[in-house]
Amino acid sequence: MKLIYSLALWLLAFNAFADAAEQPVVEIPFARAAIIQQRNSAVFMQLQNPLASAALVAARSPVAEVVELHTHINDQGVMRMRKISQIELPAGQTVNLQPGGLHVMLLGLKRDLKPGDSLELTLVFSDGSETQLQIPVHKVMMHKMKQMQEHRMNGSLPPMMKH
Amino acid sequence: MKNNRALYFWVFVVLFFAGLWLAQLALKQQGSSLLPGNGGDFTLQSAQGPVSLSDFRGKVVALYFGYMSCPDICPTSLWSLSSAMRQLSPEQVEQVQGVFISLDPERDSPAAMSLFVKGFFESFIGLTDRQEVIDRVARQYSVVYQKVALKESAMGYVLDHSSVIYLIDKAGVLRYFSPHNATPEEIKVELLSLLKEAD
Repeated sequence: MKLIYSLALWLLAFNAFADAAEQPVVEIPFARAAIIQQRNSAVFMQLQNPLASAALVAARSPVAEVVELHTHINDQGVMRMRKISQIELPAGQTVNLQPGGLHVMLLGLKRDLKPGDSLELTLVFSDGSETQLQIPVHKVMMHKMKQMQEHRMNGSLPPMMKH
Repeated sequence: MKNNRALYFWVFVVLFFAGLWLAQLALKQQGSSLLPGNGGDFTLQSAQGPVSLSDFRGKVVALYFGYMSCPDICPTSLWSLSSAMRQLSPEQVEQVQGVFISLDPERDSPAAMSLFVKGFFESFIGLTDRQEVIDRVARQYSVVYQKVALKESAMGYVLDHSSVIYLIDKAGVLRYFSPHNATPEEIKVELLSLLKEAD
């Protein structure tokens, strides 16, 4: 698993060089494991944009009938998922697509996404350029745990509530 | 004369019990309006037939309301709960029942839900029913949810919903609810404290 992961990272790094850093760099991408009966899944990643401001405007994948860009709004504990037309990528910044927030939404899965599998995903940017990626499928979200700990340190999450 | 007496007696008995029944009904209603969302028993449909909360007396029940097409929020919560349970001993795991209730009976069949929840933890069960039955149970647990049409999305509609893991003690009483993003460690601590209590 680790080997696949580091290979994927190397491939990504290589891609970035090959494209002469014209495009936003994709880091630690993963898709959430799902069974076909769920119909949907989501892909998360970090997008680093070293150059002029751009936006992620679309995505495609052979494993899903439709791919959309979505976000979650946490409205006083009620999670509202909404489709958005694009994800802004300001110059020199990193945008996190992460559980509970922005994500690439896979709709109408054509097969199960099993942990350890990978899937093909093409990202389309506002300048018309495209990046093709192999996204590993994870069940457990390692970096989600890290994020939760960070949130906690910032004190932005409430503690367990007693009823 | 004798016949009349017997009649009075039976009329009295029937009225007495009818009164008791009415009083109980009134108290129940008053109770639920005084304490909205205080949990309580319910019966819903699983892939193996009807399941009631009271079937799990003597166990700690972890309850979550969501829907299967939810790509992120629901799987995250079920994953947190299953991770908490993986930190328990086999004896403790036997004493905990994870239950996922679908708010989307239109899309989620009991059979598909069974497959879905077992992907997180073998003993989890998935429950659903007719919309009005689910609505009633959701109200019991103060679940906030709303079906929202997404016109430009292939989703068709989504369900905005509160994301809470409810913990119910061995006597069937709702004791804790954890906010979305509670860590597996926090859930484990609450499970252990309920497991320690006597049956």
